[in-house]
Amino acid sequence: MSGQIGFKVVTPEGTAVEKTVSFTKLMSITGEIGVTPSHTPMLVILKPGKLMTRDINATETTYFVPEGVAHITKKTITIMAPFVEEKKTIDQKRAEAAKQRAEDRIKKPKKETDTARAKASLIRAENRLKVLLKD
Amino acid sequence: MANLREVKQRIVSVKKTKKITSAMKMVAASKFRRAQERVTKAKLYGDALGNMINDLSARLSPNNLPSLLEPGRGTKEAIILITGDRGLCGGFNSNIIKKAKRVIADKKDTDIDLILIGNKGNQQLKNENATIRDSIIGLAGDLITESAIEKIVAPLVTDYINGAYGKITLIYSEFVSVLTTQEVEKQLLPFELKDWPSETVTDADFIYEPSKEAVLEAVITKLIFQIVLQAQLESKAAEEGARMTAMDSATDNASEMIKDLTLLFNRSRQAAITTELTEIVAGAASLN
Repeated sequence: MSGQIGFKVVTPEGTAVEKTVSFTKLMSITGEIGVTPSHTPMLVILKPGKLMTRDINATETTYFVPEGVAHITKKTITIMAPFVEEKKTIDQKRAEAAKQRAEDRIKKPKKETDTARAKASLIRAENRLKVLLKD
Repeated sequence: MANLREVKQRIVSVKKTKKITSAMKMVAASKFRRAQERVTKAKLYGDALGNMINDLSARLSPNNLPSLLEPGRGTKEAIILITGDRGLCGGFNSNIIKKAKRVIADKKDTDIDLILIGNKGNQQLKNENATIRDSIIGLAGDLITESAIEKIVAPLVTDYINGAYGKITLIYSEFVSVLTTQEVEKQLLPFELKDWPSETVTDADFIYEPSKEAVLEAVITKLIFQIVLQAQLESKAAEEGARMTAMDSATDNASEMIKDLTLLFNRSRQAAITTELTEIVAGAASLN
């Protein structure tokens, strides 16, 4: 596969990832999308899940994004997300604890519990674990 | 001549004040630096979102638009006002509150809902001709996050879509430099796209996933959160900048005052000594 494309993940804390890649796989809310250079311009809403990039040396890097929007032009991919985690930096214990916490909150809601928020964080935690445990 | 002991006490107290103001200046300076860093970072994100929106506005045909781009159906208006939590920062708070009062007075025929971020705005806009829908105090430093802002703004966006509001405005202090801030009134909703509708619409070569309406709504909502977040960060930077300047001049004034008081103290002491001497000499002369 020839050609490369600029890849960038921008979070409110600044540009988190910036590199050139030859292939990217995103999780859109309707399913998985693969992006190669000169892809038709696209605007995609992302769901919590995996983000994979492959660079020119066929090295694959996997990230986790909690949600976001991807803006794809012929030459660039820009992903806007609240935060991004590289697979190898995800702490399994912490991720499991977050999942547990969210489950508890949904099972035994207190008065001040925001159920929608708890559910969102459960989905986030589950997907983070999925990124970590599956390939 | 002034009482020696009184002057001495004043010097001591002014010196203490000077210590406090110079410490506050240093604290403000470090907070200011941090706030400024965050503003710079947030701008990167805002710019990326802005690019996305600009790219969109060139290819957007005016059908099937999300309601965030259309004028609101409601008659009420919402105003989000960002002020500081604390004082001792010169005219920072009073300027922004003055601006807000002017805006509210201009819209006296409209029902206004206020969303007040910052303690000072909460204290001073209690008696305005408007309903206070939400008041947020203590949103500072690391607490300013996207999710914190989302909690405040998301209900407003939902209400706008459901037809409760006709317009949502944001009033905040824009950071220009340490010495100057600009009070800004910005329309959040309906969202205004730059150069739109553009004359050449090419809708064909663009894919929206899952759908145009949903994507636009998500992106614009995100951009609105980002605008408010950036405004809050800028306002904090401006506040700390203003506090830094105010405390700097307070420290200068204290030094000046100490100088004047020391002069007064020395003069009074000299006068007292002269008086005593005269008395002694006069006493000695009377003995002869």
